[in-house]
Amino acid sequence: MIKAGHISGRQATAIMTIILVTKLMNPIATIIIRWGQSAADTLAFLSGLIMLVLVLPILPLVKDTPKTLFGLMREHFGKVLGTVFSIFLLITLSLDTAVVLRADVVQVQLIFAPQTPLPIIESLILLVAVYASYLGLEAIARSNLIAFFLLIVLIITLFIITQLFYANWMNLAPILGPGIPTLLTQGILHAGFYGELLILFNLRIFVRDYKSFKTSVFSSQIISVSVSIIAFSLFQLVFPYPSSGHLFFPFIELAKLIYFGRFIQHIEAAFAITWLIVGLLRITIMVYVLSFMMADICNTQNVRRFIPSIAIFIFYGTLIPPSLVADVDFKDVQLMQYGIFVYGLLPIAIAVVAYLRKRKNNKKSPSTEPQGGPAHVGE
Amino acid sequence: MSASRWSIRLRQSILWFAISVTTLTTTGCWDNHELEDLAFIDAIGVDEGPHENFEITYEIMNASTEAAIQGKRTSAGRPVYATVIAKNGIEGRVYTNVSSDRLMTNSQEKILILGEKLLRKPHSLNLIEMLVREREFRRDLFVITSLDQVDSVLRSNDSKLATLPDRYLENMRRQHQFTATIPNSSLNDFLVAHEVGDWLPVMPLIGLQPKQSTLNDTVSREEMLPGRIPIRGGVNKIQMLGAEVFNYKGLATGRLSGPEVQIYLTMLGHVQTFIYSLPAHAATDTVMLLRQDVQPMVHAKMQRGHLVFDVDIPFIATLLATNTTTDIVLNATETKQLEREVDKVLSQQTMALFKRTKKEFHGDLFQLSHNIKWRFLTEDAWRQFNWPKRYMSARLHVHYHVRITTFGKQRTPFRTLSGVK
Repeated sequence: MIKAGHISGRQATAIMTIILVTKLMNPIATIIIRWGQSAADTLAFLSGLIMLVLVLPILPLVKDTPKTLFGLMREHFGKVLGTVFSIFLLITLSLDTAVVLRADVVQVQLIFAPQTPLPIIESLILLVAVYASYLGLEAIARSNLIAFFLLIVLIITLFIITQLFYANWMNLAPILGPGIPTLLTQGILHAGFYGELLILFNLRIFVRDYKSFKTSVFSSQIISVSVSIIAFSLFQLVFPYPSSGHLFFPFIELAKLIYFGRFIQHIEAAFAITWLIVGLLRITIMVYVLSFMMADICNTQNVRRFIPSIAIFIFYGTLIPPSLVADVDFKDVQLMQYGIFVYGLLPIAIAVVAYLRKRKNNKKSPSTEPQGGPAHVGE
Repeated sequence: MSASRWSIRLRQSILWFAISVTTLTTTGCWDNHELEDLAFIDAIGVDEGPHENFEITYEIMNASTEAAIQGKRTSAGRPVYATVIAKNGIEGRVYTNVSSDRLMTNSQEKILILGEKLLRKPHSLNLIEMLVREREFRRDLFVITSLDQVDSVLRSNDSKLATLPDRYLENMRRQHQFTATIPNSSLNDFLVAHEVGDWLPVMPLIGLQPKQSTLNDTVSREEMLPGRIPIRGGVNKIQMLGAEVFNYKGLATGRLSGPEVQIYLTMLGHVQTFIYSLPAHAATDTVMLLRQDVQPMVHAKMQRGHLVFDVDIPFIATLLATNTTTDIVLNATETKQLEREVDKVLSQQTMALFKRTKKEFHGDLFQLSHNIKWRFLTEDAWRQFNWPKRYMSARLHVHYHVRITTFGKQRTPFRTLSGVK
């Protein structure tokens, strides 16, 4: 039996940042470029802000008694409806993980292993993720904290090099891209780009105190959105729209432009390896978190037993899209544009029900206020 | 051994297995060919072929002898050349591979040379379209336009000072910062300019040294193009100078001479230093080293329905040579006069090139669109503004501000008869 243990607020921040930021380095980033045009950075900012606003209403609900997001839903929607929503979130997140993994794997194939079939690369990556997930959340959180700094160094290095040699600040215009109404609409529809922020609420019970948790919610979102703004600006500075819209792998193309002469060649390899480490960590976290969510739904404390089945489920998910275009489109349309109306509104619905229940209980009798929720995994 | 120890050992074994398998597979250590099984293409040259095909020449690195020839030149170290007729670069590589016992790869390719005649025809864009999708094809390639047959240019490239032919082209690419006679444009620059469609792409020009001409046929400064400058001896049979300009459709449309490229790069602010000599019609024969420390300041405004661009270009100058006997060092008025003379000539040359952009190239060569695009908040508004059309009626006022700060070693002209004051 895994002892779930505790993670610090900083580790929670690192986990969330890696989950959110890694997508910028694979073809998933092209979704934001496609809709944001020359204002992809602004769209990323709006999406991040909207997602933060959407999850904020449930923040006070996990203040006094640590609960998972699923625990909250069961408490306020009832066991049946709460479980139905939990299963929906689990399936959505699993498909999301599969889609992002597929995009990662295509990139791995492009850079490192052009002749290896995708399923082999996918299964190998999942094999590692399964093993690392068996080590438990504390081990994952510690390695994430190290990778977090690696990621920041990577972004800053890329920023400095491209700034010095390849960027043209004039390329930022027109700064509002498709216009404010479109940016706002797409900002709402693509808030799901940062939808994984909800995962952090499932990890609430692992964070020692509410203050650390609250800080990690804000800091992870602020860091992720800031990094996104830098990354999308970089793409725009070097590949001004519509040039950026023609690319599938903007991060790799950016890294491949770096040329220091013959003595040091193929600098992109250093960036690609760093991205690979961070990408592997992301899939590890996702496998663990999905297994944890499954255990939570089944109301059991044993997370480990779900890890292999979740990994196989993700593996099958990666095989569904016939091509990378279909993969990215599925993420864009089904998971982001449609999905946001469910998982984006869920926190608000929870907060409204919680508020109504509280008011009703206060009217009846202040002493009969419900205490805590159902048994929680890991506690 | 206790059960817990077994468990730890088992866990360690799985960990090492997982790390080894992932490292060997996902980082490409497994899915690649051995170095000695590969033939690295250094450069590709493409020219017109029959029936809208392409004549593609591959310059293949002769890796087996390269190490041995460092320091001494032998024919054994020369690259291998192969020319084929094919529909595209990838098909051509496959054809060439039938005579190669090593697998040909583009991963080390640095140069792409395209024939000017080919670039004037629409199907030349098919070639680029077919190449950019290929994983080994990099966007940082140095793309060059050749005035002569590409195959001959590639095979004639034999610099006496560079260890390998492609090194010569790379050295020339680096030299642009100090000569400003060729643009340092990569394939990415061409693609971005073509895709964005607001300014005209350019590529450097290359050509073979003239065979028939004598030194007396030396061209004037304004007509400096590769393959036109007679040199007796020299380092290489090929010359690199000037640029090819492309229209908005991506087709070659005209040439820039070496001095015109200096003006072009100055307007873009891409110059570090370059040696500038006043043209023959100027009052004095003066040579200066111009340094562009500050980017050109461009102000755009509407005047009577026309866009007007006011451009101020500051330069720091070092006086390298002058034939005037006037004391321009100690006499501030004379210094000012010389500075104004250079300002005026540079402005005239810029205006002449600006007129050419409208008459011959029909588009924005100086990337002036950047300075007006800021005023448009959305992509739609910018497209509706129709910049390519507006540019044709735009006006340019350019003001150079050359300031001579260094006068060289000589305090006064040596021919001063009145003696040193």
